[in-house]
Order: sequence, then C-alpha cells, then structure tokens
Amino acid sequence: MTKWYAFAGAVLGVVSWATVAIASDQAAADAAAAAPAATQEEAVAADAAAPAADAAVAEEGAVPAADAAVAEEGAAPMEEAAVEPAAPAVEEHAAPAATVNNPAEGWNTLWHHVLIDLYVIGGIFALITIAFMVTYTRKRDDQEGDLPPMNLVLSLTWALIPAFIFMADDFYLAANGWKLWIDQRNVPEGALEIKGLAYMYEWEFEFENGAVLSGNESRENPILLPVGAPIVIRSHSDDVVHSLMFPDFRIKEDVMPGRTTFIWFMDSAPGDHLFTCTEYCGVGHSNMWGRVKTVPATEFEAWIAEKA
Amino acid sequence: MKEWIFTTDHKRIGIMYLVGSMAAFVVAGIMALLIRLELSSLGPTLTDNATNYNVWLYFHGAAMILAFLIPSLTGFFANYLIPLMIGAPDVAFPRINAFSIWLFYVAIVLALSAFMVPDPPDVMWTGYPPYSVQTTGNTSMYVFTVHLLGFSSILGAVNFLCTVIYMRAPGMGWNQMNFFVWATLAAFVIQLIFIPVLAAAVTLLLFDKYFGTAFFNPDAGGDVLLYQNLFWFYSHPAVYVILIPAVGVVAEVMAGMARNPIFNYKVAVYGGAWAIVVLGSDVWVHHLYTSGMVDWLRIGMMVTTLIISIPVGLLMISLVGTLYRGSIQYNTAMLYAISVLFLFLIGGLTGIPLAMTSITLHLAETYFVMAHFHYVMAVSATFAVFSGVYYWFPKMTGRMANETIGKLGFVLNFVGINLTFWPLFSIGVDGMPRRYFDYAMFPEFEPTQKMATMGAIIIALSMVVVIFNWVYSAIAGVKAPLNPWGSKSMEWTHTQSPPGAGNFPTPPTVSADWSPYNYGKHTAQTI
Ligand code: HEM
Ligand SMILES: [Cu+2]
Ligand SMILES: [Cu+2]
Repeated sequence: MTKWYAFAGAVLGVVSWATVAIASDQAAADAAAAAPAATQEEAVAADAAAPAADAAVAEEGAVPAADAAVAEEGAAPMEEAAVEPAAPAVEEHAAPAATVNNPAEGWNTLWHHVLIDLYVIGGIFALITIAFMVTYTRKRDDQEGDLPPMNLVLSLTWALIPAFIFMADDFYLAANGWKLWIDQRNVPEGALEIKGLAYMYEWEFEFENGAVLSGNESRENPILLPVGAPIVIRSHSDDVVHSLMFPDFRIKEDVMPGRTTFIWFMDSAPGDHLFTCTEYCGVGHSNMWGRVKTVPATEFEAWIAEKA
Repeated sequence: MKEWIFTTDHKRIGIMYLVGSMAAFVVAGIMALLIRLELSSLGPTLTDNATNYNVWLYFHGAAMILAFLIPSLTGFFANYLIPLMIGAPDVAFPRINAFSIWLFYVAIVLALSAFMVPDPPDVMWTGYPPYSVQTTGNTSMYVFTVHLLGFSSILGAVNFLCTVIYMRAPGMGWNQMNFFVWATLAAFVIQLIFIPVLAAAVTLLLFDKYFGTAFFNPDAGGDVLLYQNLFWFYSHPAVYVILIPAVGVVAEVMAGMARNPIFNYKVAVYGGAWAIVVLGSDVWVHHLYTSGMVDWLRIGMMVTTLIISIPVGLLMISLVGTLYRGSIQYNTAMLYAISVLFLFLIGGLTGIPLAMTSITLHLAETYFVMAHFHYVMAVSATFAVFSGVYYWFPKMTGRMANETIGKLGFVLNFVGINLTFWPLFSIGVDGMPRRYFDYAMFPEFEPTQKMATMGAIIIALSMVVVIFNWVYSAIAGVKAPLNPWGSKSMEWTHTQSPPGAGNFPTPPTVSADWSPYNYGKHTAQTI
C-alpha cells in the first residue's frame, strides 16, 4: 500500500518536472528568437536621439542572446531607417509586419489554451465531487463517515503529487504567458508613432506629422490607421488616471500624470474598432471613447497628410 | 437592550457583529440592485447623473468588503465560535473585544451617513488618487471608515491570537484544534501585518486632499503609483482574510454534515492556510498589471500569483476529500457549503487567466474581472457565511431553522447568482469595462445586461426569504436537540444551546486522542 503511493509519487514528480523543463525550455528558445533589437527603455531613448544614431543605439543596447535575431530579422528595416530617416515612408510602416507576431492573435490562441486547461481541471474536480455527493449519502441516522486513517506517507503523497501537478501546469501557463508578453511589450522597429493625451473627458492623438485628432469626434468620423502596420501609442494624462483600451486588439494600459506608458498593436485585415477608458476617472468615465478604422496604408497616408 | 450594548460576552458580541454586517449587506445589496437596474437598459435608466451611480457603486463595493464580509467572517464567526471550539470561558480581553464592536458600529454609521451629506464619496472602494484627491466628493468619509474598521480589526486580531495561544482547554494540542480556528488565526495574522499599510496609504490621501501635501501628485514630485502599490499591498492579502475563514467555515460544515474528518487536515492547515499567508504577501502587483509598473515585476508576480494555485488547490482537495466515504446529509447548511465547492471552482479557475500578465492586458478592468471576484466573494464567501449561520443556528438560538423555507431560499439564491454573474464573463471577454454608468459603445450587450438584472431581482427575493427564515425561526422555530448534527466538535458536545455565561458548565479538558473530528474509528492520531 505505502509502496504503491510512493512509487506513483515518484513517477508523477519526474513527469511533471520534465513537463516544466520542456515547456520553459521551449519558451526560452522562442523568446530568444523573438527578442527584438532593443528593450523598451532603450527604444524610447533611441526615439529621442537623432535618427542617424538609431541603429547604433539599438545594436549596442541589445542583449547578446538577441544579437543573432537582430542580424537576421532586424537588419532590413533598420537599414531602411538609417538610409531614409526623415518623413517615414509608407513602406516603412508596412515592411516589418511580415516578421512581427500580432499580439492580438497570440492572445486569442493563448486564451483558447487556457480555457481548455480550465475546463479540464474544473471538469475533474466537479465530476469527482458529484460522484462523492451521490455515492456517500447518509443511509442510517446514526451512520458516521468512514474516511480511511491518514499517516505520514499518505498525507505527504496527497500533498506532493497534486502540488507537482499544479506546479507543472503553473509553469506551463507562465512560460506561454511570458512568450506572448514579449510580443506585447516590445514595439517592432519602424512602428507608426502616436502620442496620446488623456484628460477629463477626452482623448487626443498626435501623429508624426503633427496632426492632432480628438477621441470624441472620432465617434462620428473614425480615426484612420494603416492596416498591417505596427502602431504604438505613447500616452500620458493631464489630470487623473485613465486607461486606454482597444478591446479588439486585446490590449490596454493605464494613462497617468507623471509617466508615459505605451500600448502597441496591429490589425491584420481592414476593419472598425473602438477604444475606451478603463480606469475609473469620475462622472464622464463611461463617456471617454471613440472609433478607429484600419485601411490600406496608402489611403491612410493620404488621409493623415490632409489632417496635418 | 442595555445588557447587549454594554456586554463583554463574546457570544453576544459575535451576534452583534452578525446583525451589523447583515445590515451592511442589506444596504449594499440595495445599492447593487440600483446599479443593476441602472444598467438594465442603454442610456440613463434610474438616474441621468452618473455621479449617483458612482456613489452607489462606491458604497456597494466598500460596504460589501469592509463592512459585510470581513466583519462577518472574522468578527461574527471568530467571536462566536473560537472560545467555544477551544474550550475557553471567553476571549482573553473581553473589554477590548467590546471596544472593537463599538468601533465597528461607529464605522457603519459613518459609512451610512455618506447618504446624508451633500457631497458623498465617489472614489470607489479603491480610492485611487489623483481622482480621490481632486474630486469634490467627500473622500475623508472613506478614509475615516477605513481607519475605524482597521483599528477594530487590529484589536480583534491581538485578542484572538492571545486567546488561542493561551486559553485552549488543558490538554488541547495545536493539531487538535478545529480547522476553522487555524483558518481564523491565519486571517488575523494577515490583518495584523498588513492593515497598517492600508491605514498609512489612506492617511496620506487625507493629507494630499485636505492639507496640500503632494505624496501622490507628480507635478510636485509625488507618484500616483505609490498609492496603488500600498493599497494592494494590503488589499490583496485582504482577499485571503475573506477566503481562508470562508474555507474554514465550509470545512466545518462539511465535516459535520458528512460526519468525516477533514481530509488531510495537517496539510490543509500548514500547506494550505499558512502557505497562503506566506505566498499571498508577494502577489499584489497582479492588481497592477496594466498600471504602468515596470515589466520585470509584472512577470515576477505572474509566477508568484500562479503558484498560489498550489495551496488553494490543496485546500480544495481537502474539502472534496472530506466527502469521501462520508455519511452526507443534505440540509440547508450543507447545500450552501457544497455549492461553494462548485462556485469557488468557477471563481478560482477564472483567476488563473487573470494571473497571467499577458492575458490580463486585455481582461483587466472588464466585466470578466467583475464576474470573477463576484464568484469568489459575492457567491462563495457569502454562501460560506449563510452556510455557517444555518449550521450554528441551533447553537445560537436554541431553535432549528426551518428547512423548507431554507431550501427554497437556497434554490432561489443559487439560480439568481448564476443568472446574474455567469453571463458577465462573456461580455467581459468581449470588452465591457467595469464601473461604467452607461455602455453606448456596446449596444450589443444590452440583452446580457438585462438578464443579469433579472438575476439580481431573484437574488433580492431570495434574500428576503433567507432573512425572514432566520428571524422567524429564531422566534418560533422548533426547539433544537443538544447536538442536532451528531458533531464531535466541542461547541456541540460540551455545552448547551445557547451556552450560558462562562460557556461550559464544567471547564473542559481533553485527552491526547481527542479531536473535533473523531468520527468512526478516528482518533487525533489518524487525522
Ligand atoms: C447580491 C448581489 C450582487 C449584485 C447584483 C452585485 C452587482 C454588482 C455590480 C453590477 C457591480 C459593478 C458595476 C460596475 O462595475 O459598474 C458590482 C461591483 C462590486 N461588487 Fe457587487 N453585487 C452583488 C453582491 C456583492 C457582494 C456580496 C460583494 C462582496 C462581498 C460584492 C462586491 C463588489 C465589489 C467589491 C465591487 C466593485 C466595486 C468597484 O468597482 O469599486 N458584490 N457589484
Ligand atoms: Cu475613465
Ligand atoms: Cu489580488
């Protein structure tokens, strides 16, 4: 009896650690492959610096593991930027899209995996509970329960095996979550830069050519954005904490005074999307929203040039 | 009346906690109903002033957590049960105990007077600056309510730690205590360590708003994120102040009604409750996943948060295991307790995606979060409270609660909460933000919102039935036998119902084999 449990514990322990090892190893490899040229802070610094220095800053700041990736994937867009630093061209916004993972698609895939995980765990617990509920009803008034006696080995087995299984699942989820996180938090090279400003109760978006567009007005006339191009919005607030959410792009980040935060996203096909405030900011909180529409890059360029 | 107000008897103080916290529940529940009615259709429904909505929501959230769940779980249950379960005549400091119930009542009156001032607080139960500093609403009422309740909790914590450490019946070893006693100890340790952090945070808020300091004002060198970190440094552990005693109550009810020991008792105590106390202090940033915190901290706290699933999972296994080869009787108390197994499964499992930073970048501040924490708190923890009240009803009143009315209330309650909260997961994933007075951008969510409102009306109905049953049965219920459930726990075996002054006719002593779960052939050594 005792031996049987000890053996099962050992086997499950080994299996779960192997799962952990494989899952994290896989994630680490993917992460290394996906790691961009520069970390976020450096990218911000690079933005501030003269365009000609861009490539140099990015390469110096890169972690060693990411160097190979820079050489393979990052090289082309960066050279373009160096050659043609001013007035970003249409191609520049569209170019990196092919090599960049769309975080919203990654989110949808991961969400699906997580749901399966939840249904499996939930299903097992629920079915066992129901089985116990119908089997062990009271038959006689003076009947008492008959739980088998516990001892140290049993007790530890029932703690350690489940703990290993839960831990394996946790690390599996954490590894995959981290992988997506890397996509979400590293702005691809050459993304379309937008400056966001929030105040009670309005959003303002400033484009690279100086055009400023209002969130409230965008409900009638949606703000156009290029399809297929990474877009980054770096925002701060003039008064209280707000939060900029694009539900369709599966992203949000608080917007506050004293700091600049960013979100980036891209759309794979033309479409209509909305954005809205998701941090409580008072009486107009549910009235801080607007619309965007993604269109082919040429159409966007023509439209934004007009707004400058 | 006088012997209640000036009482130092832990049983009366316990019942006063129950009455006060149920009063808070009713008022906050009425607010919930107003909120749900407002949301039942697009555009203004009950009011066209969003500030009214925001005040209801502030009161609902703050009162449900601070004035209903924490006081009922750590005030009522701890006060009523702990001295009886450990064989003590009263708590260690009865007068301090009386002082903490007065503080609690003053706090409730202060919170309620929010509806009588011209500028009620509208800062939500989280009170984030700069909004809470800039608003014309009365933030000080929020701050002073938190101070009073916090002070009351700290006094309670010291009192009960001393009581359990020094006043157990002669012979009672640590592993012979009821699981509920352990659970409450864990909760009080959390309160003692973390409440001062919350008190500091809200006090700084007071200084910023009324005395012109700039702790949270970036224009003058402050930082808005400082408050959020301090707030959740307490308020995440606070959810365990709710969760652990709630699991404790459910465990006692299930052990009593299945007449079984709690499965793997020692692991539930040390690997479950106490592991949560330790791990729970290192996860607060999961409330700040989208707050602009530094990236590495968000990833680090994703890992610690996910690891909390281990002790919580062990607690779940102990609860389910308690049914194994049991002798289960389904009365109202047990129906509530056993439904918590399923409802907490929903609440707990939906916490897993919310622990994953990258998934939460989308789900934060949506109805998905709202549905998640309602399944944990509004449903699981609240059902634990109801279950406990039904289970110990004969102990408190000497009468049996009416089973027919009880079961009717339970069925309505169960249907209502699922109708209200289950659909909200789906519109949450589709992007419905919380704390919204209106949802003009999402007209397609209106039918779901209507369904949730219908559920809320059913909940309101069920609560009328439940509370009527308690009042009616306390007055006119059938006289209860000494030990109606055939429990082995000391509050049932060693004294009458309700227990008299001093609790036990003869002070109990226990042998080394004794345990509150000595069902069948079990002794303290086989549990
Ligand atoms: C009994 C039926 C209940 C209903 C119908 C209900 C309904 C709601 C609704 C609709 C909201 C959010 C509205 C919005 O975000 O705009 C909400 C928020 C909340 N509820 Fe409930 N609730 C109920 C019970 C409870 C209970 C028992 C608790 C806790 C013990 C609770 C705790 C909270 C909290 C903490 C919030 C968040 C407040 C905030 O955002 O600051 N609720 N409730
Ligand atoms: Cu807002
Ligand atoms: Cu938390």
